[in-house]
Amino acid sequence: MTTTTAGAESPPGVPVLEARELSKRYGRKTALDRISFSVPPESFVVILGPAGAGKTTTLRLLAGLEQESGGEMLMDGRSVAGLEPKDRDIAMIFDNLALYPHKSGFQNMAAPLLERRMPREEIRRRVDAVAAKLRIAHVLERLPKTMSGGERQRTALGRALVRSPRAFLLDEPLSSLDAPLRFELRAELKRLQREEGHTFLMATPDFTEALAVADTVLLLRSGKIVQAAPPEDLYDCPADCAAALFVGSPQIAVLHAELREGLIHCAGLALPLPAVLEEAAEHMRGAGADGFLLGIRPENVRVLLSFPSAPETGGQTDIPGARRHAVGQVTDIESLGLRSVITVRCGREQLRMLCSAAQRAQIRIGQDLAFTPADLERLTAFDRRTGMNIGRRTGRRTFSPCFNPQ
Amino acid sequence: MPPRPLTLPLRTLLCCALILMLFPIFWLFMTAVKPPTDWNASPAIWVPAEPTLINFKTLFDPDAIREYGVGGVSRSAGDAVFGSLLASTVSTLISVGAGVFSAIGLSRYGRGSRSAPLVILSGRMFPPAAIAVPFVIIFSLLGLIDTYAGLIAVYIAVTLPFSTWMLKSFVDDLPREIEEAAMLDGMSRLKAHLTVTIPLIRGGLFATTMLVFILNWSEFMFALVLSYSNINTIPVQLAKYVTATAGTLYGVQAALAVLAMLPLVLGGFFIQQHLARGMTFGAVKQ
Amino acid sequence: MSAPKLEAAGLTKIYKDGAVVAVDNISFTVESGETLALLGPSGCGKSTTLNMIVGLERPTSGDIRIDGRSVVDVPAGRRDVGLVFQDYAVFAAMSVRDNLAFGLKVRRTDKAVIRREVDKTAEFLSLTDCLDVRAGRLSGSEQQRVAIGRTLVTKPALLLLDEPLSNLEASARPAVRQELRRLQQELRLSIIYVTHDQTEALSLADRVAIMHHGKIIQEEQTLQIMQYPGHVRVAQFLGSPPMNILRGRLADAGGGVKFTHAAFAVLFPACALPAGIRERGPDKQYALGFRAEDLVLVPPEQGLWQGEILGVEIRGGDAVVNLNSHGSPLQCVVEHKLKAAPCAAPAGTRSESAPDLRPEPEKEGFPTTRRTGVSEAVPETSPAFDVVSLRKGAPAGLTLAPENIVLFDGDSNLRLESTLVPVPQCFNPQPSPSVA
Repeated sequence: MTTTTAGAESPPGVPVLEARELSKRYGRKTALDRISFSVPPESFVVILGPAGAGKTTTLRLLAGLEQESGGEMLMDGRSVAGLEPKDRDIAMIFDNLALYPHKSGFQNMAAPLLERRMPREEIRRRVDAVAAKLRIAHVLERLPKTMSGGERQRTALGRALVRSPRAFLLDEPLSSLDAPLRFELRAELKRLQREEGHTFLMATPDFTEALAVADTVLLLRSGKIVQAAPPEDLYDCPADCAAALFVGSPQIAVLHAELREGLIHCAGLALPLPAVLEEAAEHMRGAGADGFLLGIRPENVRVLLSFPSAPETGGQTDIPGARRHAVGQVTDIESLGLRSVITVRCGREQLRMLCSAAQRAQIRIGQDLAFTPADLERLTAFDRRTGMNIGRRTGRRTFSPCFNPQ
Repeated sequence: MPPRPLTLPLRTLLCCALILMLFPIFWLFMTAVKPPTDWNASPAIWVPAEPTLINFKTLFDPDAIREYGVGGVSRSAGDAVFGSLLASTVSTLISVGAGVFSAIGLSRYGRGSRSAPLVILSGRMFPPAAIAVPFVIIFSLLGLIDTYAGLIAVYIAVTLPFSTWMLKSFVDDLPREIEEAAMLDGMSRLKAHLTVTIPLIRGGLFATTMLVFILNWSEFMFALVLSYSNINTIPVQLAKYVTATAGTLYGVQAALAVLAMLPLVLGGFFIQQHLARGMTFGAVKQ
Repeated sequence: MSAPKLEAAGLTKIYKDGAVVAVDNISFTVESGETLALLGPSGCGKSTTLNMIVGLERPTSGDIRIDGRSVVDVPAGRRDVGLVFQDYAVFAAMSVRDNLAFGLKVRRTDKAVIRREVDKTAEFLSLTDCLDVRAGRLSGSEQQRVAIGRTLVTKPALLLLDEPLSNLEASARPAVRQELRRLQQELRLSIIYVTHDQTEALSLADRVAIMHHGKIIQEEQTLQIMQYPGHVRVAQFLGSPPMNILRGRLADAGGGVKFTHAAFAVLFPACALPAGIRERGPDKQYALGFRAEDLVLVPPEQGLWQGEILGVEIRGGDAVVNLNSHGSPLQCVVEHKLKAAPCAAPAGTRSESAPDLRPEPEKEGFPTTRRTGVSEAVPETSPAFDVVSLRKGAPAGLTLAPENIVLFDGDSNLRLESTLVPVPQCFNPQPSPSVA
């Protein structure tokens, strides 16, 4: 295989792809607004964003299919300004795959090699090797229209893989596949990065996909990078309120909260200030405000089936005035299979929480339900006006075994 | 959903429509083989008792018809057939050839003005009668009157907007990512268009060629006003079979019309297989 | 109890003179006020089934009864079923009011009645404010509501929803699902919901029928189906990640039978033996199924058996760990726990070192085969793994919470009857092997 481990061509530390203040305008509309990022060798970077955020534009600029309006792009530290797509040594897999409809699987995959005037035997050898690796040897003699969706997807991937380019740009490559196939191909991409040392830059609107495969996620919104972080940080320490709402399902609850006498008051709760929000308290003191937005993830709220008579303090004496549980009215129950999402209304606020199937069986819509935040260190605080995260911005996460709550 | 079975009333309706459409063609073929006595006969003679090829003979030998006692046209239709073939073929090839590149240009790179295609099409909106006179004046200054070069130039000018417009819709239907993928595979822009775009719009290319050819082949007005004696086309020739002595030579006209149909029918059969839809099926996700 | 709202009996659809069996002898019922989801991958025959119920296609054989009356020969327009299409199919050029009124106008309903019904439906679906807006200018989820409302005004006996959310942006779906649930509860509609998305089926349906190659392979109450898949395919289709399936044989062992797979074994006590096993005999192929949530990742030396980590997929609050256990792929879910200690590392730089699974200091006393209850699900003192250190190639110990193990017939892929009470025991048949 010629999949020479990438990174051999550039000194360590020089990113394969780099964008500096990259901008793109269509007429008066700004598609990309001075974004800067880099893709290190052998990494998997994902551009995450809703439709129209500028994901595809970013990839097309890097591939040379569109002219940038400003800024600079570098490959291996060298500017690619003015280079035609064919001279950039980048492979791109389009969201519609763009196979040659009139050519067989083999011809599709061989096309980039033929263009490079490679001897026939070498082409045959390479295509066969890649086809075997992607398990599509049986479709090499078939036209794209006779292939299944997954086979087409793999053929498009194979066409990029045969020439082992410096970087792969993937534009929502898995969006139209059925779930099982999507998981399988996702793992395949990750394996190619890990084992063959390829470099990937993928665009997707699906946060689950981004979290699953990325080393670094670039959260793009309206042509601007909102946050660039490893997936666990994106989830635990979102840059702002909108990012928190965009990443995670069921959605995070964002509540109006006030900080009074060292306690966070919201939705009937009065919680002691956790260490993670001390910076937020500092920030509010600086701004002279005491109202803020409190983010609570559904998995961080625990359902209490019996109303606790004594406050849940874990056996310790609690801060005076603290109320760690509250009661709300159940407005919606959504089953997710093993677990269910309970939506509870507390005054004007809405909270979501996860519960087990056994707990769910005892909960009815309209009833009052007590709940308590499980881990105060996992709360997030956002500025009421700007929506910016004012708590600690980097986290460090660990995982514990998950027991199926029965 | 499965097609609905044809019920009896529906069948009858379809048969009526078919007869209405095919009757003129039947009448044309019959007239072409009628002797002059049957042309205007009343009551009408549907099928001639004695079919004859005299009308076809008369086309190329104008005196042949005199054995029936009619005559009046001195000129053979041979140069008209040649003229029509020359003017239509050359102008169609140039119009479609130039059209395909302007279509690709407009569809892929013409982001400057969204109204450009409309402006081009507006050239087609002038009725030929309105622009015929300016053409005659300009062409007589340029010495292009009564030349094939002049006629071809007019045909190109008139059909180019049409072929550009029509081909553009086919290029628009083709996902641009297919040729962009080719560029990333290592092709230059021009090569990607020549080896990817054009083969993939083959069906549209054939259809456009056929339609433009039909337009040129049956064009009458420009051919009439731009021709005196050096050039001739079939539609112009058809109009000449009107004599002072025998009235309109219906049989001879019909014979020429039958000949004029030939290339279109043959061409239709030839391109039918290329007109199949779904050329790009499977290339992209639906 | 009156006749079920809809009853399909032996429904079959064969295309191309027997060459393609799209729907193969399926039967199901929908009770009044109930939602049934037809769930399956694309091409499983669910849309064909829907088309037959609506009347767009004629079944090759079988009967469809609505309110006890056969409708096979009734044309689509008179079946009293409402269909909401995947692509909404609202009349974009018409106002929302005209869209809603359309079905009633076609039926020549009295004008005053139309007005009343349209207003009522619009209010119910929160469309009152945009009644006079052209439908084409609305957002996707609003158009979806118009499409549903247009069907609802005619008060059909049965509402059919064909992948109603698949054209919506992912972020809009949870809200629309909630809206649909409210609709179900307040109107007590009888609904057939066709989808390939298990989240939609599980969150909206009372019962789920899973289709595969034209057949219904399992029909079950929604709350049961995840826990008791009746077929290996159901187990592998439902859940993300789906159930782990291990294939192997059973062997007689003291007082029961033993399922052995490479490095670990499950002992089924005699009294817990599924009836099927006694009939089939143990020397056949079996498939053992257990949820990724029941597989417990522990430090290597503490596991019942060992596996190798292939990769970690973060999902949000938890993560899926892909493992290779003696040649079999396994998936395990680990839960998120944020370290109390602040993090020094700035965003974007990740530790490349330590490709090993470091047990955290508080791991002492970790119970290897503890039966866990709800209260202990995520104990404050449970060991935590650093996600950064859960790296490819690292060894991991595995134990299995045995309460929810499911046993399938290895040949027919059907689940063997009876829940396993008392629970089987998991153990390692080899005397404590060292980490590979």
